[in-house]
Amino acid sequence: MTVIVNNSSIRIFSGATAGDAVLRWAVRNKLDISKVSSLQVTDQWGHKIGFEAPLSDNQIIKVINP
Amino acid sequence: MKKLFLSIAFLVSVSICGVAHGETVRILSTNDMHSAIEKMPQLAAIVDSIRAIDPFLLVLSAGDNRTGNPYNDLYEPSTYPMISLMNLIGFDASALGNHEYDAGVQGLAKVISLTNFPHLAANITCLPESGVRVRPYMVFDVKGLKVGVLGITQVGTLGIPDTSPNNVKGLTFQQPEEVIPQYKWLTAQCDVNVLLTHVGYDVDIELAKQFPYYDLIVSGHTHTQLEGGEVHDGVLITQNGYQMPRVTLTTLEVEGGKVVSKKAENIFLDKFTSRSEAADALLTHFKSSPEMERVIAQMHSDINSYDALGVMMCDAWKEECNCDIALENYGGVRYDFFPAGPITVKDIINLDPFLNSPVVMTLTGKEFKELLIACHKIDRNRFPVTSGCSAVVTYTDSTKSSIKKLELFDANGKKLDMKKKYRVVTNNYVASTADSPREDEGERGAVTTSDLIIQWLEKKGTVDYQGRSSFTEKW
Repeated sequence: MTVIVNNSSIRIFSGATAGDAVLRWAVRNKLDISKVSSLQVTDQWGHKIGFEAPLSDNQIIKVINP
Repeated sequence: MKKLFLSIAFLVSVSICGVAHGETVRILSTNDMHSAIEKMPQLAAIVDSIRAIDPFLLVLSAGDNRTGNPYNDLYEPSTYPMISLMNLIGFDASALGNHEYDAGVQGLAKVISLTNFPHLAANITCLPESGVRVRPYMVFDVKGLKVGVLGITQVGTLGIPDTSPNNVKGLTFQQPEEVIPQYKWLTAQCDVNVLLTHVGYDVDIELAKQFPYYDLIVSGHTHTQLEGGEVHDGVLITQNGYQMPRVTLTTLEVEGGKVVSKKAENIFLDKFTSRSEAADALLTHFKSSPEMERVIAQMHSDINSYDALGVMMCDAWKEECNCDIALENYGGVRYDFFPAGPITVKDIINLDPFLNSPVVMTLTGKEFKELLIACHKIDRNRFPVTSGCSAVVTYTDSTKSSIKKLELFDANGKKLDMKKKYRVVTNNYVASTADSPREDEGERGAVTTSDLIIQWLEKKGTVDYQGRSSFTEKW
């Protein structure tokens, strides 16, 4: 499936969580993945969601620093 | 704590004093508790505090009560701790989340038979032989008012909830928007109308748009943290993250058979230090569960390396997922020593503690090779462990940071065919972080990787992995 993380299209396995998609996004952006857990994730409306949040195809999420 | 209790009392009592002619309906709601049994004593104390002031309080869960804590999920019967605590607290109803199906139809039927409250889902049809007894709705009498609660379960793109198709055999599902209009008659008969859904915040916004005659949607599934609640097309929507960081107290003022005002406020569980003694006693009992000490297999001889335990894990994943090859990141193996003797459930939970899930993908030999290289790079230059495939890896130097040559061999010792397609299983961490080119990204399974190892060991009885390794390193 495809999800949009900070305006970047990420192809990832179906059933991926927000945490999975953020990890892929972080690797692609050459970020230190050991620090990913300190990031905050929101849905397209700006509501905080957990790393465990299930995602659906074409879902939009945003990563913000706490 | 006293201050917090008083603030809850204040929240509740303000509306008691403030309404001259109508009645107040209060609903305390949770969602996606995901086996958070440790928080149930606090939740019980919150519910007790509010019920002391308003005995008509309704307590609702928007589903996914289970899956997320082995002490609950591996208990026999599965999720009995959570259900017992929900019974003690006096939940009035729960939606069916997609994870309620994780123990299969029989497991779900067992859970429902143990609950003192109904599971609600109007968009599910259960064959009688499934044993699953679900009601579409409930009407609660609250101070003479009729509060109708219609349940809706999640339906994914395959037409079933997001779980393994094997878990929902004998159950059929309809999309929420097809079913909700069939219950419009119910809304005409009730003073307050609630949708108790496990479909996700985005879908709930659409439901509010299509069915604005509902007063409240108690929402779950997307782990969305709302600040109190949000009103969309006149419908109040509430949802609170994952594993109960907060719960929501919704207050509905009803006059002349209509809701005239509504508000939703969050109560933070971490800030509420009071605990129910009865719930604490149950929690202590469940945390000392003999299930975690249950012997599932025997280790024939001592294991003294990460490699050997990693190969054992990969063998389990490969066989349980019917794959040709399994791959585990080296850092995912948490022990380098395991003594000969009994292997318990707790040993496996500690060996694979991340609650990871398997991801099964179909890869060519070339794509698999690229996956191995990407996994080595992201795992701080540690080569991954495999089953169904062995490797001879030559690095440019002793830092192991750069692979000069990588030779791969299949289970028969022949060179891995770079064009042939293999069914490969790894965990979701590797599938996320090893960003290599591949046609098939795969699909995440509905179990944990530790569950796979436990199931496999139970079948094996005795295992011997002394001295085993799946790769040779040179430089």
